[in-house]
Amino acid sequence: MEISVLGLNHHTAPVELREQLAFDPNRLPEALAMIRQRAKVSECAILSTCNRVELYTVLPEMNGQARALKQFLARTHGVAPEMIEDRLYWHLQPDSIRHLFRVTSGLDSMVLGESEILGQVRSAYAQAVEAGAVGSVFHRLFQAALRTGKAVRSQTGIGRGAVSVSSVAVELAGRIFRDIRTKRVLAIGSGHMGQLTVQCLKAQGVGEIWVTNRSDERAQAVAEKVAGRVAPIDRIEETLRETDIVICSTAADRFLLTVEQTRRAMVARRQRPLFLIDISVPRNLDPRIGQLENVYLYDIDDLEGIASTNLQTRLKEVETCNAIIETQLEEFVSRVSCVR
Amino acid sequence: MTGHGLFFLGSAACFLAAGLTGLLFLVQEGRIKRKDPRALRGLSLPLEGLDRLNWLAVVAGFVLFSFGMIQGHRLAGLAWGAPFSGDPIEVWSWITWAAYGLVLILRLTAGLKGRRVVFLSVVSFLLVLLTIGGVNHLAQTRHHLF
Repeated sequence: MEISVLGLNHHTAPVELREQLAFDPNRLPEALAMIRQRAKVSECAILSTCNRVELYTVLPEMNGQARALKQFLARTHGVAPEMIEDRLYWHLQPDSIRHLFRVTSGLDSMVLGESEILGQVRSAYAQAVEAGAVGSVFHRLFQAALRTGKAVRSQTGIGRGAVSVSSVAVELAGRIFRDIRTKRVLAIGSGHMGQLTVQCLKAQGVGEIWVTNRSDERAQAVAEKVAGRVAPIDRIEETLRETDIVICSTAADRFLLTVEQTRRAMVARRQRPLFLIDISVPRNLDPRIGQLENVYLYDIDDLEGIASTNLQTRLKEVETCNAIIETQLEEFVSRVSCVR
Repeated sequence: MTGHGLFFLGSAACFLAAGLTGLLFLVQEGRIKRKDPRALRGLSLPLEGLDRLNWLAVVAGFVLFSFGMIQGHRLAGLAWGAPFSGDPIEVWSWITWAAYGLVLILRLTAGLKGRRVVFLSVVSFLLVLLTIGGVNHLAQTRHHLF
């Protein structure tokens, strides 16, 4: 008996190919049944996320299943097998088990230590169970993987600290404001990063979103996307009086907000805290605004600096994570050997 | 313990809470302002929450302190024949009361929030410590008689 994994991920394949090979969640039971039939495996599970497509299998005996699985993966998605040959990895145990433990722990993720993958592995396992593709080996394997993922997160700092610009901005907002659901966001401009940050804040349940832009049409389009409303660009100062978070992401070549405007707005706001995020390059909010009391101004370098520091902290934890994974791997292998 | 003592004990507890939340606010606010990554580490109440707790603690402490002062002057009148005798504890209590009163005025009338007013509440707590600790031990006072 051999536990194997065949797959590709963000390290080995571009997003276009990953998209092409991703499994439709509604067709997973069918795909699992096909793998068992065609590749002659006793147990199988499919982990298909935006960053990876992986087929986990239990092979009763080695009998050319690697080739059969590659062909299955390619042909199911209408791709020639030779097109993906170089993009695929194929691991047998203990590497296959180690790989799953690393994936579940977030060590193989695009964003090191992200926790979403734990839920995705849990979901892949549940779907395989539901499709009747899991036996005693995979029950033990996936439960051990989920346990390892949790242990790595609780015993190390691999998941601590935001590591993307938008998540740093959201976390900072959480450190400034008591209840983000009562706060109002003003998005100036329609830059991609700005919209991403607004979406992150929206996901956190921010109260209301206003959008302003030099072009009314673009403001309207962004407002519709984020379920917000349009605010006139020539009345930024007035809007600022009723806004708590400002996200500026424009291509303007001048300051759209000056110290004086902000100072006047702060008096009108009775000094309620104001969080300004300037993602524009060149900056569109006068940097001196950050010196005003109760005003917190972050530009793209500040946010990237924090994200990078947090990432360095996470990287330092990798060694400890690997040690936990090796311990769990040894334990799992010895248990499965006993059962065998 | 007399009502006078209880009021002062209650106000001291509130001022301690205000001082601690104030200190936490100053540390966390400083980190956010300086863009220090430590601002996002560990558990911490948001600035608005700390500011609000600081404010509530100052209000509660000020009310209790005021009752304690009224009660104290009434007792002083009964014990020493005059409600105000210039005792160092009395003087420093009035200074402390005025400091916290200033915090309240600045918050209520000037709409001051954040660092400056929180800093003032921390300084005011140092006055509380000075009044109940320093003056009691360093100066000639009749209060230890109680």
